[in-house]
Amino acid sequence: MNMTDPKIVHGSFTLDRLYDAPLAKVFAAYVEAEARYRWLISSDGWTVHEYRPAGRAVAGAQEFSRFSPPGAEVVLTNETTFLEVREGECVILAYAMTLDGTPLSASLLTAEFQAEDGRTRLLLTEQGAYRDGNIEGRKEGTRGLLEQLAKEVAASAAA
Amino acid sequence: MPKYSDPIDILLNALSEPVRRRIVERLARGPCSVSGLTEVAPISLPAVMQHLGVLEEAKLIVSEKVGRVRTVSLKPGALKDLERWAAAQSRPWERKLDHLDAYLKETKEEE
Repeated sequence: MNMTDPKIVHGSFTLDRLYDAPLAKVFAAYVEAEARYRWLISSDGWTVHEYRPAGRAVAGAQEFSRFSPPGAEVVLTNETTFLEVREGECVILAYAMTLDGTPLSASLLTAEFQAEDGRTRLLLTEQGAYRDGNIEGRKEGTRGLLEQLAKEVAASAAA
Repeated sequence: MPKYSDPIDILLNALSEPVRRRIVERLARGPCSVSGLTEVAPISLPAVMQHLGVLEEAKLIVSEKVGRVRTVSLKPGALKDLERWAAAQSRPWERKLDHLDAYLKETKEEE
């Protein structure tokens, strides 16, 4: 058995949320650029260096963002491609992330929407390939983020 | 006892002991004299003093001597660091989905 750490870890996870809003609204917030910028791209106090929205979210549309976590000097990028968009039903997208120019993860993300008595259930499934970034020699300010990423990798691998 | 240097290690070490958690729970209801704290668990005054030392080092409590009585109280926001630490350990997507919820609520108010 190979005891060295694998360079790439594969994993998947599912998250299930019920939102107190009609399906059309939740779906719109998930695909529209202005909404995505607010809840997804710029949240958590991250600094957004660049955001190129997808325009209309249709199969093949691409979205790019470049950002830094609060208090850290590292720069992350997220390149997203919408693969399948079924109005009010599901959105399948692929996204790849880099950390300081080094590939970090590549994922397939499926969002399924279900109406439940005026509320909306969102099922999010991610399947991905994650690289265990080399955390040696990184600046102290980035440690929290990297620990979080490492935990994500470990948790995803265990799931 | 291992030596901790990271604030979260010191905090979680302080809270890892049941009697110290009883003390924190008691102080959450209001300040208490040191001798009064011997009632939270069947322990001696020196044992209480020792636990208070650990809680003070973790910046969870403050004590003040008025006359002959030493009063202990919980520091305001004492557990904020613990909340922040716990929040930071959730998956990024969990937080993002929380933000989506916040966004939906905000835009509902705007309508």
